[in-house]
Amino acid sequence: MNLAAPYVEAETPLASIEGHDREPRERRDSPRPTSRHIVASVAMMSIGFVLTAAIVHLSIRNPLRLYAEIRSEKLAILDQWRGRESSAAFGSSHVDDGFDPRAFDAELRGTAAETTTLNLGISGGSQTEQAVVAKKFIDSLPDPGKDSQARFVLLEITAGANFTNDHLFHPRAINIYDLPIVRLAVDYSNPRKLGWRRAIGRSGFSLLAGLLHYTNVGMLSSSIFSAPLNEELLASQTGDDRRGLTPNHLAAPGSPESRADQQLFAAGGVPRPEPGEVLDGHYALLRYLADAARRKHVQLVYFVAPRLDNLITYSVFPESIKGPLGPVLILNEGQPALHPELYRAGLWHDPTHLTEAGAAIFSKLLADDLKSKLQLTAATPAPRSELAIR
Amino acid sequence: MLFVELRFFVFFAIVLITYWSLRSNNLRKWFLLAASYYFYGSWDWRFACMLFGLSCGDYFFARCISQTEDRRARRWYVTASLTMNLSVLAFFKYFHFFVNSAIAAASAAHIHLDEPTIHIILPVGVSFFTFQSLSYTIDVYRREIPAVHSIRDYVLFAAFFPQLVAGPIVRPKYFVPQLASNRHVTVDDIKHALYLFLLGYVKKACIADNISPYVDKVFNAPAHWSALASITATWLYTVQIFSDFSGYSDMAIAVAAMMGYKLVLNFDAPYLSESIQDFWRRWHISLSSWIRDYIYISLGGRSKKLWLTYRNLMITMLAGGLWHGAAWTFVAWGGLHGGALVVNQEFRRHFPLNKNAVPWWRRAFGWFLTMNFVCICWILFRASSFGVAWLLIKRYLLFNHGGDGSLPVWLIFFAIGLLLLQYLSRRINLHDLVCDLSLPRFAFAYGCVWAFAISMLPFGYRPFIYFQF
Repeated sequence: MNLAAPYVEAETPLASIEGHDREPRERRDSPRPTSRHIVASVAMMSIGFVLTAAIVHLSIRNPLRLYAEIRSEKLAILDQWRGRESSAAFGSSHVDDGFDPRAFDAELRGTAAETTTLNLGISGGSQTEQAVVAKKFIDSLPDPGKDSQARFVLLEITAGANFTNDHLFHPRAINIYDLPIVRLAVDYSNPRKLGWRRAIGRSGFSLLAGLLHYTNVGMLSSSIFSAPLNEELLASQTGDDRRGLTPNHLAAPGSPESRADQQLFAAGGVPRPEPGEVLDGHYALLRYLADAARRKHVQLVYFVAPRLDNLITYSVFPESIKGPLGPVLILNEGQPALHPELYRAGLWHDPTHLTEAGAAIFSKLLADDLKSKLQLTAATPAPRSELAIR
Repeated sequence: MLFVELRFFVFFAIVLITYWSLRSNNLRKWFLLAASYYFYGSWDWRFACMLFGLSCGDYFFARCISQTEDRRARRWYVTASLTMNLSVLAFFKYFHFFVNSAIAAASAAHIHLDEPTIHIILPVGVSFFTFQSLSYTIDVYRREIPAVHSIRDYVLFAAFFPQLVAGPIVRPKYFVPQLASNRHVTVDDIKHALYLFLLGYVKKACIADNISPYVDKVFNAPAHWSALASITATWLYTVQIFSDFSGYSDMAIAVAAMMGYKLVLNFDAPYLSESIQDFWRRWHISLSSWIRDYIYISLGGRSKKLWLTYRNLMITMLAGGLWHGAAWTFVAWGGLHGGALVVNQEFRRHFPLNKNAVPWWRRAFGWFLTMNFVCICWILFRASSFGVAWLLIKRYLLFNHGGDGSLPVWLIFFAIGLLLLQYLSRRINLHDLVCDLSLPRFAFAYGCVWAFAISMLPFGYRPFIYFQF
């Protein structure tokens, strides 16, 4: 029996002699390629690839396309508030669900530092994403006029690296890794402070992400197929004038989070201070934003968001560091001894994230701290041009 | 492990290098067998063991069939093979369907039955490899092929990783002879395979996965969307399912071709069909020929009594619908196509065509009817329930205006673009044009298209639609 023989087909409504069971076209025999041919072909393929990647790259006007399901909502809020906002807080989830612009603004109302703030923190956002969104925010501010409010850019100094494979291979999350951002990320990777393993991991990640950025992974598709916004998330972030605050409510009783809270509260003892890490990247971030901040009269401020495990150890930072435009404040709200009112049950969703009530208290404390460092009172407002560290 | 994922690229690079570095055909086959089981085991090792058990069972039954001339014994063995394969299929794929249907029927008769708490995971590609195995024992039983001597060869045929999880459904009479000798590839074969792989990648990753979120939005919550958005989503799904499935088939054929194996063509520009019969000659060819050979012909095929032919056709298409998914919507989808085939046969009987002189308007009208019918049927195929399907069908036929939700209008051009591309690529024979380029030119063009494809990567990879079948 000849196994290779094509089987006979019946003429049926389901099958035709011409259409079914067709083999791929037989190719003619071709000469065996030499190694020179192969090298030339690989070179030609690389040239074609690089050329097309460059053309695509240059044709994309706005490469800032962030991870749609989490990040684009914040850009939408920024668009909604365009012209009305004057300040914003940036960072990771500790800011996204831990900073309440309403409480922050209320505390500064009537002072020279009166401002209208947005929460542009990004859950899972890295330091580099914080930098890009902050830069976009400053650029979006109108030129300063006489009547404009005080302008602050509040940066979370302890924002995580948050490098995940999703971010690396996720087309719409890596698009911010252009050359300045790669340099910035590498600046955050000081092997003397972080250890070689973390330093190589962070630098390697950003270099790879940079390579993918210039290969345009997903950038064209995200320009064409603009991903739909997460309407539910957007509604929660804009409801009740939250201005970007993602509300966290209480951890469910008996959940791992609530048990962790109880364990930490029960731990007792005196919290242990540790030196906080001020990395080259923190200075680099200030340099990255300096030009835009100078043009738009924006004051850059670092802050430390509280965590429940501050009850065991907390970081100590200098009051300010030297920035390109002068000293930059570091407002450290992660000190239980200074702010015992933050470390109460009901204010924590889990050991590192506040509830909505906790966010209001933290934001008020942050504004208080800013006020006192700038030596402002409601009774004696200082001229805005003199807003500076006294 | 999806063909479009980075880990598949790593896996396949290792497989390809190792495969071609082995000299003996025996070693290559052992290696391919191990790679195939690793590939399938990356989903779930338990199911890889099940696949091995099924393959050994079918090998054994086929050997028994071939070694006896006793008709009763042969029938007994083939029945045993059928029972084994169909039991696996029924248990894993249709258990919940049968149970839920029974509960619904009992509920209609005011009898309350509790739902079972058992949760069965569907082994990926179960419908494909069981059908493939069935065709082997049935072919041996019908004396169309001899039983395979080497158990290694048979197990490799059943588990060959390029087509294991979503076809094309390969017949043993086509594939097994290829295992007999060392495979060789020419530069043209490689160019052909690389072209097909990239084509499949673009179809799946750059087209299907990018439009999928729009389709999901409408089909998951149809009430909110306008009629235009619903029609757009239906057309987009028409594009998505073709790009997704034919993309997988293209990549499967390409992956096999890079190792010197040939698989059958599975799609032949189905959306250019001018009748529903034509459509089934071009869509999922390996399945339509399978159900033709093993269901339609087994039922008697074309009969002198017309109603018997139509009955056979309807049963075949209903079974084809059920093969796709364990839900009544799939059965209805198969039934609609079966009905359309019957109507088409009747029409052709009363208005016979001279194949060489079909007026253009009749061809255009035939295409228009076929495409819209296929689109409406895809609604049933995609919808989660008859309620959703009925709502979207009404909107498609403009009997329901729907809500305010809209999709970007330009998305409609995707469907039109796909049709034009299919038409043009057939007219100018794009495939041959590309493969006939000199090697450096081909490499340059290949690099350009890859750069473009990478810039068009989607927000997230989605499993191939046909994996669930």
